[in-house]
Amino acid sequence: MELKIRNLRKEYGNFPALNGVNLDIRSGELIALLGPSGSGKTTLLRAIAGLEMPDGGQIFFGERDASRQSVQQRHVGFVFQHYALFKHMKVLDNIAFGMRYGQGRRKSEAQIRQKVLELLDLVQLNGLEGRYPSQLSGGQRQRVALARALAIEPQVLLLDEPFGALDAQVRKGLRRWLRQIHDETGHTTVFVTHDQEEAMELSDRVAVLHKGGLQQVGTPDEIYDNPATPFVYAFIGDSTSLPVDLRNGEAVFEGRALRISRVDSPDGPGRLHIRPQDVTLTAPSDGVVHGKIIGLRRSGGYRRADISVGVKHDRVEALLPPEQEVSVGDEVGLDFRRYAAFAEDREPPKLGLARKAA
Amino acid sequence: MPQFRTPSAIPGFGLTYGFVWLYLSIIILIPLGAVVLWAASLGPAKLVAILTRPDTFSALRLSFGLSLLAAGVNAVFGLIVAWVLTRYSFPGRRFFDAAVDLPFALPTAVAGIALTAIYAQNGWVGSLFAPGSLWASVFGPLKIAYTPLGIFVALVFIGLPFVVRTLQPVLVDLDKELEEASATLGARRPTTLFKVILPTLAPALLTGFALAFARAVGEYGSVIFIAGNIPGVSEIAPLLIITRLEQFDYGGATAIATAMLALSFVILLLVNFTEAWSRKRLGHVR
Amino acid sequence: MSADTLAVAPSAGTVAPVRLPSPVTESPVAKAVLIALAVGFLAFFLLLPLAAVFVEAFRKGVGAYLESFEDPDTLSAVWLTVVVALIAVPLNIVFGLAASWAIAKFEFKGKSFLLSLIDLPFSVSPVVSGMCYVLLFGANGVLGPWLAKHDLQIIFALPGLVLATIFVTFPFVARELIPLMQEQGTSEEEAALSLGAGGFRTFWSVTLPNVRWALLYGVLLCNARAMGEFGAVSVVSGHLRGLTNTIPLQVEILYNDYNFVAAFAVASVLAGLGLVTLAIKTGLEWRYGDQISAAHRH
Repeated sequence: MELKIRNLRKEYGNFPALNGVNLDIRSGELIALLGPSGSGKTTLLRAIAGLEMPDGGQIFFGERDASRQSVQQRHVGFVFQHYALFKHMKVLDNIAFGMRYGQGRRKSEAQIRQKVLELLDLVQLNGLEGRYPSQLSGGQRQRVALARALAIEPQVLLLDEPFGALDAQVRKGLRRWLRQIHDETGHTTVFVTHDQEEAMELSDRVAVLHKGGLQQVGTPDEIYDNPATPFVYAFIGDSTSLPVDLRNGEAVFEGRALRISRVDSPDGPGRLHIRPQDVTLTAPSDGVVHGKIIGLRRSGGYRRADISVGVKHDRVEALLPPEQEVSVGDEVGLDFRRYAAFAEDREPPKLGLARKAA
Repeated sequence: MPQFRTPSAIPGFGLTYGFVWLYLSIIILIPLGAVVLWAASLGPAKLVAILTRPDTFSALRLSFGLSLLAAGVNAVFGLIVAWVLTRYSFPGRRFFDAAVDLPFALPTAVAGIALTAIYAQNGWVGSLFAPGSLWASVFGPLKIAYTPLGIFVALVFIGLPFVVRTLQPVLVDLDKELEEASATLGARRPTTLFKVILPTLAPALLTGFALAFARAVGEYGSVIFIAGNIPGVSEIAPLLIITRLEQFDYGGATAIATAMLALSFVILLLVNFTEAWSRKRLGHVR
Repeated sequence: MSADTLAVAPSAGTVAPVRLPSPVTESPVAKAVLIALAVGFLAFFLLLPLAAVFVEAFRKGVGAYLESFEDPDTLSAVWLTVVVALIAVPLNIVFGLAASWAIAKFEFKGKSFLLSLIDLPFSVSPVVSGMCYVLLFGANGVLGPWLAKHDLQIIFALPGLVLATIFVTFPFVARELIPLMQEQGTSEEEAALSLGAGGFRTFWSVTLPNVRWALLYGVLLCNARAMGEFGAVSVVSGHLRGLTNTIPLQVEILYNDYNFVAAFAVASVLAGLGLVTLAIKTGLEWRYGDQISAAHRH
């Protein structure tokens, strides 16, 4: 099932939770809604499910306008952050709930039981149908919640922070397993997370949200390598930035053109964003800018260098191989393998525009 | 050898602990000891003989029957009241929320005479059912005060807050995600109410019912005025205890009290048992 | 419900939102019916009796109402009630503080037994509570002959009234303080002690200020119940007019004498006390709810 979200708006009081969001979700893809808390990602997910009533805009399931349907009619599989299992029901009855009391075609008890057992097999919980939720571990409850959502053969599967309540070890295992289930069942799946690693590792595409607006939609590679906005630069991975003047496709730092090209922001004050691993050190005379190493720290398999640049001592971070011979106080030249320049704008752009047309 | 008390840097345990036991001994343990002494001196045969006397037996039956009935009505309406007070906002909600405590706040004797005044044949409500009223011309007159029906009304009055106040915190903590989960699975609202919410509330509802019931069985002040106290018809067990005491029949009073305590104890035990069982089953899952 | 069957005409090209009802609440009709049921039930069963007290009290005018308080028996009942409360409430405060200190600040065996013992008066009929003392101190009671020989009277006298009142009211202060002090733990007291404060100083300057609102709350409930108690007191009083009648017992006597205006007038004073208690209690819950503790059952 293909999903189209058109100009979706939602306000809580005066606080805009969704700011006119447009998003196309392809049939059968696994897409992550990624953003910090308060970015509107959960509101968007709940609006798709029909749990949240938007103030404007439309949601299409295929060609059908789902915004006119109640949550019961939308037929979505929703997995809640805290699973929301019915404590007074056994696992079997939890999974059977939607088939018994939902809006779908009635099934006989034998068919229901058959289906429940199939699903338990799918989520690898064979033999636990007689347990109560209180007798299960966190990871097992998560799986039951997923099986329950799948039982109604949903048009789309929605997961709200599916691994948020689990400890790190269980989380990694379940991540791989969810991807596997998705590939087996082929449901269009949307999940919300604030964990960029989870989003990058698990999904086909990632939609980054900030302050109720969509910042960028793309594959994990696109998001990481070509961030569309300063926010995405800052939120995904590490980055540092330098204040520059943008003139005719050229970035000017403290009066000196940086001899780097492909700067397509409008002229005016701006910032140049660079990831630490995209900084290489050269001789002081080479490089686009030159600076002085003021700090060195070991960080995993790399060394991080704090480099002071220019008269205002702006800081740039570089990730260096440990064998590179540098020490604090060295004068160095800096080359940027990859970078992006954005016009000075306290608020990031409302929609994912910038370099690649969104 | 396990210690009686975990060592602590804080002083004053001996003093306060000793005082608490001294106080409890004087106020309840020794007096209750007297009850046990009297009950023991009766012996089983005499106990049964007293309890099966028609007036005693009918008083006990009346007290327990009406208390169960009143607690049942309170369970239903208490659930509605608690639900409305926690879930909906409407003008006067806080006022009505505070009003739930009225039966706790009004001394029982005051409630008793007020209820009697209302439900007597010339009272605000009583007159609606008295001879000559519209009701009486259709269904025949209905006497409320000075009948078991009047006792029932008084027991509903004093029992309601127990159910409401037991349910309210549970309703506040009720996980909204459960209802949303039910809705996403396609269940309509009534199905969600009866298949998801009500079973989740059941243990608290049972506790509230038991508290209301226990209170009703022992209630004296608010019932005594409206009951009419006709032996064998509207005489409640607590009144019979007082009557026996006034006749200096301490044995008779003890027997009735023992029966009341024992029956209440059995019912509370059953409720606690069910509650513990359901709690163990439901656990603390979010 | 109607949510699922909303018939919506397709509106060409507009993006006006469709207002669907929230999935986690009832339809407006069901809501209105439930609110009406709840409010109706509360008004009919709880507010009507309250109104009746004051209507009956003023049935013959303000003059008759005020006259009711000129009866010397009524005045002595008021006096006796105040005396009983003045003895019982402070004793229960001391008990409540001692019990909560011992139970909340220390770990010891048999704590839950002690707690259920403190809850006992809530599950015992007031009549049975009063009966205990009659069986112990009454003319035919265990200690009756001994008391008679030494010319001591407990039943049908002030000591009996005080004992019965304490029996039914002693849990109120303790029940408010124990959960709150358990929640607060012992770290503040340990800090005070480590800074050199003595045990009593620690209690007075650290523990007491932390529980002051809960203490006030408990004292209010305790006092209201002590002044309004009927069943237990009725058993041990003997109903001697002007001597052993508290206010609730005086209400009973006036009522049984068919002196309804006086009965309801005196009752209105108790109702007023109850309402004031309820108002302060509600105010405390709104204002200091977090400082009173989570458990508000009675």
